[in-house]
Amino acid sequence: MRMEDTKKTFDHLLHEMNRVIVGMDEVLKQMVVALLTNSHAVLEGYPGLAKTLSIKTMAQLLSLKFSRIQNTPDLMPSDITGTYIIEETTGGKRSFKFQPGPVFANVVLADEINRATPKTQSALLEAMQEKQVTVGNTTYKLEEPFFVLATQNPIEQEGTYPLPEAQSDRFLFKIRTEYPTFDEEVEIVNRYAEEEKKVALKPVLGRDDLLYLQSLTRQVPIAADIKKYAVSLVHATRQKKDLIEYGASPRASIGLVLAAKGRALLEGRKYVSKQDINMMALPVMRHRIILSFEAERQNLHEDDVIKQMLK
Amino acid sequence: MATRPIFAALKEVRSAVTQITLFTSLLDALIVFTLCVLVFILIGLEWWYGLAIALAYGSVHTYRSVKKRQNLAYVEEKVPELSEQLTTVADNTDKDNPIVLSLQEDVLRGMRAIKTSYFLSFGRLTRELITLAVVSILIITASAHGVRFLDVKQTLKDLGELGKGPSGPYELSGEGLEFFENMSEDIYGNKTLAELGNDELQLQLTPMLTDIDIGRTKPPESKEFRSTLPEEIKATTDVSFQESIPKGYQRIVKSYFSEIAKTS
Repeated sequence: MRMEDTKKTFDHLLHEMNRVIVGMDEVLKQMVVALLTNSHAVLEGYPGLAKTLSIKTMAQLLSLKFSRIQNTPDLMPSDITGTYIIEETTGGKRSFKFQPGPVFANVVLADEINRATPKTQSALLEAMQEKQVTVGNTTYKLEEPFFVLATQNPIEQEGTYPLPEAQSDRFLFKIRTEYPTFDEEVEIVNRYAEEEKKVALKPVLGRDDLLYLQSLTRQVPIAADIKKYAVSLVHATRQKKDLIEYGASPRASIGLVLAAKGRALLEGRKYVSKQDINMMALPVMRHRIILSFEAERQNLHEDDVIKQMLK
Repeated sequence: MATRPIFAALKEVRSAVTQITLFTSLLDALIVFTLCVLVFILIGLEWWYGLAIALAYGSVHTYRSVKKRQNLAYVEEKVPELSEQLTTVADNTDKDNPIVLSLQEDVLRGMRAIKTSYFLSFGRLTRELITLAVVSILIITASAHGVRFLDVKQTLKDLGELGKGPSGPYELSGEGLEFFENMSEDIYGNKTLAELGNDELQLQLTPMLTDIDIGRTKPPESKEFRSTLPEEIKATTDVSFQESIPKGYQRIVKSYFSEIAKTS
């Protein structure tokens, strides 16, 4: 794939996704950026907002190995990582054989991740950060590319376990799905409430294409001033003591610059603009800050505080 | 890597911006200079004080402008087509990957469209030139007519002397007045009043008012004076007097003058 063709490829990918998903353009773009930056993303939204469908659709468009973990409170870590099973050979000899879990895939959909217990959620930590899984005394390397695209319901709902801060930080994006507009909802009804038409999706991107695009993303140049602007935004979360109790870590700075590069490539630009940083600030930082009591008293959300800083 | 055209292009842009900055700074300093000269003429100060002020202003203004405009963001501001690209390219000259090289080509193409006029504000330039012309005319007019609203030097001097108190030359005490009254007995006045004292006379000739050039002098010519008075002086009646009066009236005229002579 030539560099000039990248924009066409992305346009085609998004077009194919839009055949299934109505609206949610920004959500879909952020998911693609997560892929380009070789990072993980968590989609948060109320039930019925096409979170799972979006990830499944994207997986269909990538000719990669896809697996799905439906998180429940009784899900065990070994259900994710895999376990040793006893296997009997033809000679009657028995031996332990490692049975890989669903995490051994390129694209892992961790559905309703906040319904799993913190112990099970933590089983994903090593896989997400180190891209490897240790079972017993053996460490298994995960195949590249490796993404965890998780979904979760807002933590205010019952029967959910908030993601531990350490794990939350490992997701590059926390993508918020919003309710569709009236016209979009009419279109959704038209598509899914009448005669069932199965949309045939063909893979748009292969493994090699994706790896090439990932390497290309890191090569997108960024001006020193814009880089400083990104870092200053993250740094400001640690200075705004009145509204933010705990600011974002340097991982957020890395993520913000990387995400901006991904967005620039997605838009067909060969440089990062300030607008890219602003657009990526919300999904990169919203799950990395903890608001103070004062912010909660003022009924402010993470997005409100970040938007204040962007002004 | 050093032979890449982008390096030369960036250098050229910076150089052009610096030249324009220097030109505009010079113009600003000139305006400051002419304004200072005008003000100093009107208040009776030396014009070269304005030169010192203009030099100081020009130095600071040039330094700040060059520093500000050397940043490529200024060029991007003037050439929106290159917005954020030029800075990105300049900040990533050490990188050598397909995207950077492709961006450099795009920027080079865009830079070909840059014109020097992008960095010149013609409205401001016109205003500045008009200001310069108007102030220059005012300077010439003020010089020609010797317009001066205030003599700062003299005022300061007077203030200084006033501050000297009763021992100064303008002592208005009883003794002083008596002294001057006594001295005025001489009808030619007091000789000391005609003297300038120890002070130097400040005399300024306005060249526009006179053709005298005191710088051009020549040695005085020696003249010989001779007496031209006649040896004998006598009075005669003018011939025309008798000729112009008709004979019939000559007697009347004669008697008229005789009567006048009697009355006087």
